[in-house]
Amino acid sequence: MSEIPKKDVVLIVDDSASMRDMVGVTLKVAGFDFETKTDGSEALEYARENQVMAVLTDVNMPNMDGITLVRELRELPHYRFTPILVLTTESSEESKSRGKDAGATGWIVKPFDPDNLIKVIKRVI
Amino acid sequence: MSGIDLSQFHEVFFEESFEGLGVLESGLLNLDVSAPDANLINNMFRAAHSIKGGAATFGFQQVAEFTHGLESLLDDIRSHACEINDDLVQNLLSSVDRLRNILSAARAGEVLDERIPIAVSTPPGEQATVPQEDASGSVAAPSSTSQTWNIDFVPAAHLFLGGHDPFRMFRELKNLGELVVRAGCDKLPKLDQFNPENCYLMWQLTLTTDAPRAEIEEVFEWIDDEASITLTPVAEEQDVLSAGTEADTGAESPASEPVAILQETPGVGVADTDPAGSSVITQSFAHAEVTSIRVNIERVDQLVNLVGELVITQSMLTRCKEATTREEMEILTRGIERLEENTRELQEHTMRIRMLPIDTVFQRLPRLVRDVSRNLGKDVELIISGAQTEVDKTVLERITDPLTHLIRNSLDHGIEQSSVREVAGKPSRGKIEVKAYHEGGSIVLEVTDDGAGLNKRRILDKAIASGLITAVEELSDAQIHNLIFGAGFSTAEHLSEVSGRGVGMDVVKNNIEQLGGTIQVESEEGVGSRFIIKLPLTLAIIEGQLVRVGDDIFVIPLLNIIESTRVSQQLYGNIAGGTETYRLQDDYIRMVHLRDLYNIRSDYEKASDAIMVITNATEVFGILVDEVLGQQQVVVKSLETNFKLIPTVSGATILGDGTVAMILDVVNLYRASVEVA
Amino acid sequence: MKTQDPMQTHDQKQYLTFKLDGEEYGIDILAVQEIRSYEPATRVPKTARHILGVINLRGEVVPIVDLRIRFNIPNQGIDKNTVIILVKIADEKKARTVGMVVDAVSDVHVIAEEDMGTVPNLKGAMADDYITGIGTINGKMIILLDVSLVAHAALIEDMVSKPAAEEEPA
Repeated sequence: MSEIPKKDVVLIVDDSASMRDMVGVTLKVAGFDFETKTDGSEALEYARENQVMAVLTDVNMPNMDGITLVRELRELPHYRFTPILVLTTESSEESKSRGKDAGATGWIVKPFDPDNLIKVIKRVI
Repeated sequence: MSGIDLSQFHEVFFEESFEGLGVLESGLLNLDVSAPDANLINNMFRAAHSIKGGAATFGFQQVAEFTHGLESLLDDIRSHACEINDDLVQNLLSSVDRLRNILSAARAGEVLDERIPIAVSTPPGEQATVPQEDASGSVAAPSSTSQTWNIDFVPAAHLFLGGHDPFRMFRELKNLGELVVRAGCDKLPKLDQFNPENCYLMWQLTLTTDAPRAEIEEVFEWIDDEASITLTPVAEEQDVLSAGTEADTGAESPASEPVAILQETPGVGVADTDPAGSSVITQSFAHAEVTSIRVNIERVDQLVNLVGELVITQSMLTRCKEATTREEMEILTRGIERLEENTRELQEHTMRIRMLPIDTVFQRLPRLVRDVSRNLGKDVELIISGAQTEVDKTVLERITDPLTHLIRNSLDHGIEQSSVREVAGKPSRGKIEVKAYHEGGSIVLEVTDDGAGLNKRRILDKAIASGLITAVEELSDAQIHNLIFGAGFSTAEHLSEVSGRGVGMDVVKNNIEQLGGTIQVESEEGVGSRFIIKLPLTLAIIEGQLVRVGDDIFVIPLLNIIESTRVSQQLYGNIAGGTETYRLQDDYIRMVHLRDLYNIRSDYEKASDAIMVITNATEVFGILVDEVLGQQQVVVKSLETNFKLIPTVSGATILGDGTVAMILDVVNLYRASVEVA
Repeated sequence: MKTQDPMQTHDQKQYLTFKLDGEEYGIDILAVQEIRSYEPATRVPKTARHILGVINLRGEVVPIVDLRIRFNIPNQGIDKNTVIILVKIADEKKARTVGMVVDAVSDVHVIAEEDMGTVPNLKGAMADDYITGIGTINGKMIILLDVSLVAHAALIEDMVSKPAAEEEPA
């Protein structure tokens, strides 16, 4: 895989502060730095200027939802290979495939505990 | 394991959940059943969704389950699977109350033992969202023994697109047991045909693990479209797994929630508490003290910057610890000055963190008015303004009760029944206006109603009867009105459920005075009443407009400013007697020369050379200055601390260059100018 | 500034002395918070002439009294020796910090009770209400002032002596 210079952070996109905190602290404990954004459009704006290690995004958010964000991110040349994981509350096939169709690398089903999150995220970073 | 204590996120979760409740509540109150706003419903859905997600994550099962029902119902409304009507809105509001109770209980570490209503008890769909974790979380089911697997992993060329990385997957597999990886290079092209973005390798893996099959499959679950994976237990029949099949992760979930349950919800499902019950809930929520504080990230960044500066200063000072030369002494002096500056700014910005918009209190008012007016059978419109006015957190917490009481009082004793209003020639719908604004170093809250007004005769009778005054006293209207704040005073002819809880205006007054504030009432019989609460705000931050007159810089609170304009000769007038006026649209407004009032020198000679800042405080008037400078947030400092109250000045602030500027008290400035003239 | 004399006892006190129009005045050093070089103050509207205004003292807004105006001293120039002495004053309600502008600070002296002379009749002198004694150091007379009274009176007076129009009617 070609090495593109990256910011060594995981981008967390969630409109819920407690989820941002929880995911952020979990990543921090696992040794990853992170950056947080509260909705899709904020995240996209950030992504245009910054390349990150991976993106973790919620689905239901104001302004721009997670699925749209994934789609938009994949349009960015420097995000073609970036792992993007969707945090979803539904384990249904349908919602997983919506994420995958948009270009997500994978999904994490809420609720998850910190250990679970780390295990899964290490699959891509 | 990670050892992360989830309880550290609980407070934030509760904060945002209560905020979410606010969104739900105001959404419901603003919902027009005849033409529901899709955006509004979506916002409400999202609020419920977030509460549910957080609750499930942080282990508040009761909250999660209850909210799930709410969320599903909102989802149905959103997708028009369920029709919205007034009853449904009322039921949803009651559910919001119930949820608030459950949340409050959870915050206090309790589980409400109240029976959770049928439809919001765990529907089958709820369980379906959870089992994923059950399956993956249970490493090594006790029954399973070690097993060796052959895994053929043939990725598609585009595997890397989308961020998949086989080596990370191998790493994860390795955590499950013993792993041997062999790469197949058969598909590797010649170098000139090689596309670095493609994956040409394939792998044969041998894994010995006691993990169940599902757990191995889970590692590959994201790449069902990007690879063919064949999982074969060694010494067993080959078992081709079509990667597209959902791994057997436990209870398979129904893809959509059963409709039957959701349709049940509007009628019987959602908690239907009686109005009295719901008002009690509102009450108990109001008493829950906020123990954490959400701060705008900008303010935190400012603090971080300031701490950064402090660190620089500290290193500067450390360098000069043993200063001997004159030069070093100078650096030392400068360092100490900087330290002072840093300390001051840090102090101010730290205080700023405590400032919150009064919105958090105002948000609850629509509900209060709705419930109480329903209860009383009155038709009342609530108008709120100034919700963004910032106030110190402590003041905010302690103003809720008095304000609530005043509004209840206005609803109960102020606003008349529609029939009575119509007879009196008033619009049948009553009006309550709640307003917040900064006035100088104070925050002012006004509760105005267009009801019956205070009945002086009755107040006097009552006051005499309760010994507050003697019959012979001659009192002005204002004095009579103020009698209602006397201890034990209550004019209500019957104790109503709404405001007759034995709490009188004297308690309201006491509460406000304890905060160092004042309360006044203005009233006219048949027209209405206005209660004016003024609370000190010595730590308040206000948005200020900097203006200059000669050498002096003043700050005018932005809240008071309508606009700034150059004085046009045509609109300028001079009424006999020397009062200068200005025509603003159809009105004539008074012009006030700061220079004359303060006896200072200005650059301008004639009014037409000045800039006029048009302000509004009791009345619209113009303040003449030489120049309008920038706008900035200023920290209001009391002049009283070391000096005294100055009429027409509400306080002082320290500008960026370290000098002090006076903050004008526009209301009193106007009064003073009238008195001088 | 010299450190406080550990030998100081109840019948001898340390005084900070300063100059006003050639005269030497002394105030109890325990009341002195700090000495700053002169800096222009921000005027406060509607205050007496001897209130120069307020300055920023590490984020606190502190009033500045010009003792020279207060004591009707004609020469009120500002030079490199002009300083502001910040003093702490307390009444029954609260403590305040007030700055006083003087021509120059001179020294710190220990003056024993027995070295204090009786107060002569300074009839009419503006300062006479605040004089607590007269000390002599090396044959030079030092007028000892009750700084708290001086500063406090300066602030209070401002409230009383202003033209009536400026106070809001009750």
